[in-house]
Amino acid sequence: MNDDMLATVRSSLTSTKDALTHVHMDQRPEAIMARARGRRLRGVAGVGTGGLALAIGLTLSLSGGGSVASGVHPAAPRSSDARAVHVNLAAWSVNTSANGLVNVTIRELKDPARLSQTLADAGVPVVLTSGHVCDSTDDKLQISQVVQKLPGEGGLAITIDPAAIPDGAELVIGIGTLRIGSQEAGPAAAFGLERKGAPLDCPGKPKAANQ
Amino acid sequence: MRTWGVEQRGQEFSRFYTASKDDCLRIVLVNVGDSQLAEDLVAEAFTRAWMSWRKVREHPVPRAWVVRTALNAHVSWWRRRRRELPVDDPASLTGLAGSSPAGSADLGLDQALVAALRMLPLRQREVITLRVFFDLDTDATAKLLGISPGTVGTHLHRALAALRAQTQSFIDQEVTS
Repeated sequence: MNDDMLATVRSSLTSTKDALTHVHMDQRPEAIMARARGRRLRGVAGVGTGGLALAIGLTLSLSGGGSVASGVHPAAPRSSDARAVHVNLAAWSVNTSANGLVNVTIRELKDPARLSQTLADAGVPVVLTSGHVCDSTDDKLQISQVVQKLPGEGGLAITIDPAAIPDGAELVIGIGTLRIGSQEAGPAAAFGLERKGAPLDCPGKPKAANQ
Repeated sequence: MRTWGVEQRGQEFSRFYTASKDDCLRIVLVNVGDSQLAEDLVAEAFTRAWMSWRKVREHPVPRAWVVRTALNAHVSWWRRRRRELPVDDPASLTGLAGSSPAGSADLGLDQALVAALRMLPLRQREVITLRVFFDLDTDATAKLLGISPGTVGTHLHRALAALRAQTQSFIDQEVTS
């Protein structure tokens, strides 16, 4: 019985893997070795601690459930001041389009301060928060006019319309882990609009810093 | 002499990396479902492999070492995230596409099995991955994971039971059609 099931699983998963012919590891071996060399030079015990380099940015920036833009809370220009922005990193992308919309794909929240600044450059006043989702106290209905989630795989893809953000408001993006019952279903994000400079309303947690 | 040794090891690692990177990436991608995350994990695993190359090059199945390291790194990453990012209000969240297993109702057997695989606990997923993708037998799997063959058998049995339960309708369909 188990042998039959194992054979089914083997056939199925192997064919799934073999179908991924378009998937390639782009990094050259020199880059891998340089990364290891840099880690040795810094004396980082990443191997021993089981830590991932990709988690470091998250750890530094998101701890405490506060604003990841803490101290970097960008003085976002209004949309009229926005310029064309095309920043495409492995972790996230921000691209403005000719119609004034801002296309954002978040695959991983690395370098959130830069993401905040990039969105600000694109005309989106934003505060990124982590942990508990920070609710907005007003303008709730208008969020659907500002943020549209796009279908697709490989990350959270949204379109932001900076022109739809009311004067004096800013977009609040909370990044967290979606749980369904006791099961962890993946990273997720929540969106809200908040009056600029107002303390965020984060239920069950101290107010997120909004400096 | 020492320089030559370093160069030789570097060339050896480069050959290993070039020959196995895509396969390892695809296996990890099947496990985690997010191509960027999979690439980060595999890059991390190869980095660790190079840092421990003297040990890894002697490993009976170095590719399996890399994939297992990547899967473990994924769990470390999630544990950090879980500590840092508790969220109380899932109803207000929008899941990242491709990161959560889709319901199996409208998926084919292959997709349903992949979705079910991603739901397995790490140890069960490791056992399935090593048995399926590397064709390791029970003893080799046990040695690689540092557990007894009996424990491998237990994990395999539970994993297959869970996969069967998650994909029963497709299995039945295949049998009856």
